[in-house]
Amino acid sequence: MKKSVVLLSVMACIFAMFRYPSVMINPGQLLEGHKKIKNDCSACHVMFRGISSEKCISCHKLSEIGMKDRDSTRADRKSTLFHQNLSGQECTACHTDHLGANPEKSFSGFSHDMLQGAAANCLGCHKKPADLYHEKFTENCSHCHSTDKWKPSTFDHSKYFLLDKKHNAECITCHTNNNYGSYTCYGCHEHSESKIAGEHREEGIYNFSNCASCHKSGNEHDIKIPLEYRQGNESQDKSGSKKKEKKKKSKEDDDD
Amino acid sequence: MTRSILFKNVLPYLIWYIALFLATILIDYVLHKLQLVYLGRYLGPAGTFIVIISFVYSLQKRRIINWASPKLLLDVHEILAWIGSLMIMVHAGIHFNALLPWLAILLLIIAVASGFTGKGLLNIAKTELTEKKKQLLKTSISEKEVEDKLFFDSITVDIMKKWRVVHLPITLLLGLITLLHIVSVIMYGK
Repeated sequence: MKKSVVLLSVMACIFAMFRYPSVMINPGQLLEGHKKIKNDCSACHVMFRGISSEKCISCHKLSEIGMKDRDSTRADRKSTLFHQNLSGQECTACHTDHLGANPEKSFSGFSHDMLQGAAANCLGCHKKPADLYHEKFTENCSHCHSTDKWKPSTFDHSKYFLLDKKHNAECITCHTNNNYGSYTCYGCHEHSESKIAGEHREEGIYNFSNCASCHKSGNEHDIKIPLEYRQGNESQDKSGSKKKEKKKKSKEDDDD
Repeated sequence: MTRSILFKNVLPYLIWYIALFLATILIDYVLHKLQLVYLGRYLGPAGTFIVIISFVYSLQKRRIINWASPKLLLDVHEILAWIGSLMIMVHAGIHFNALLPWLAILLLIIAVASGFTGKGLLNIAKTELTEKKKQLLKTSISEKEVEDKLFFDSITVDIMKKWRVVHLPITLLLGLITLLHIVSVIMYGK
């Protein structure tokens, strides 16, 4: 009796697997364009052999892929026609269908080396980050970003300002309002505007709006004044040196 | 007495059973947090393998093998089945959408529950049997007569049989449904 119940249950499952595969074994929802074939696994799958690229190509002609972009969110992008050069490649190396936990992982097999000529235009596929810094760039993404991954970029921040231990902060701390073209040093508790102004004026420095131009290393004692500042602030420097000398002298007097 | 049975025999297994679900949720959370969700894919086959190993106890019980003491193998069966079930449940929680794997998980949950119940009932039956034996020995009847009068022995067997009615067919069905799941993955996988 028990055995027959078990056997019947298994047979019912096997029947349902073949009769209603989308309910019984479908690992996830199909993409919009494939929904009509949800019960016909063999439309894409060859039993025990996986997914045949020929089956994909029978509907999706390589030379036409990308010509009709149905995704309205990609309206700003140019069509990226490069599939015609990919004969002999497995479609499943880059594409999958059933939406699982990580559909984005399905593109792990994609290599930018596949892109040739005009197709190798980043903006043909990628959307430009919506921040004020990236807004001004229209090309040369590779100047900062590699094709391996978007982050981290090869952009060398230390050329402008060294992010040492004391300055290991979130970008937004200095680059406020999503604007990476400007910065502020007053984003943390350490540097208040009045304190910095006081310290600089004491040294006779009145042009201190661009902190990183002199304090590139992040060390307040490592000061490298650029040439244009030296010329422009020569008079300031002189008065500053006089003040320094005066300060030093008064200190010496105090010591005596 | 009821209170004692509840605390001694039911509660420990209930805690282990609840811990199975809590551990599943915790591991699932950690895998998502560390972006290691893909590991869940491999926990299914690994967990199934561990559960299969735990069936060494069943082979010993049926005298197909004779490696170690049944008590030791029962402990091993319980521990490995719990660990394997945990891995399978994490695997299931991470990527399953279809009915067949759901059925397999439902059967797994019932199989584990019936396993714990069986172990609990066994302990209850043993306790009751010992108590009854003590009481009978206090009377003037001989040990032989006590043995004869130990009708609780039969009750124990009955209870065990009732437990096995659930545990064995469910485990068998679980094995077969799991097999169907594996075959379907091989059939339609990449």
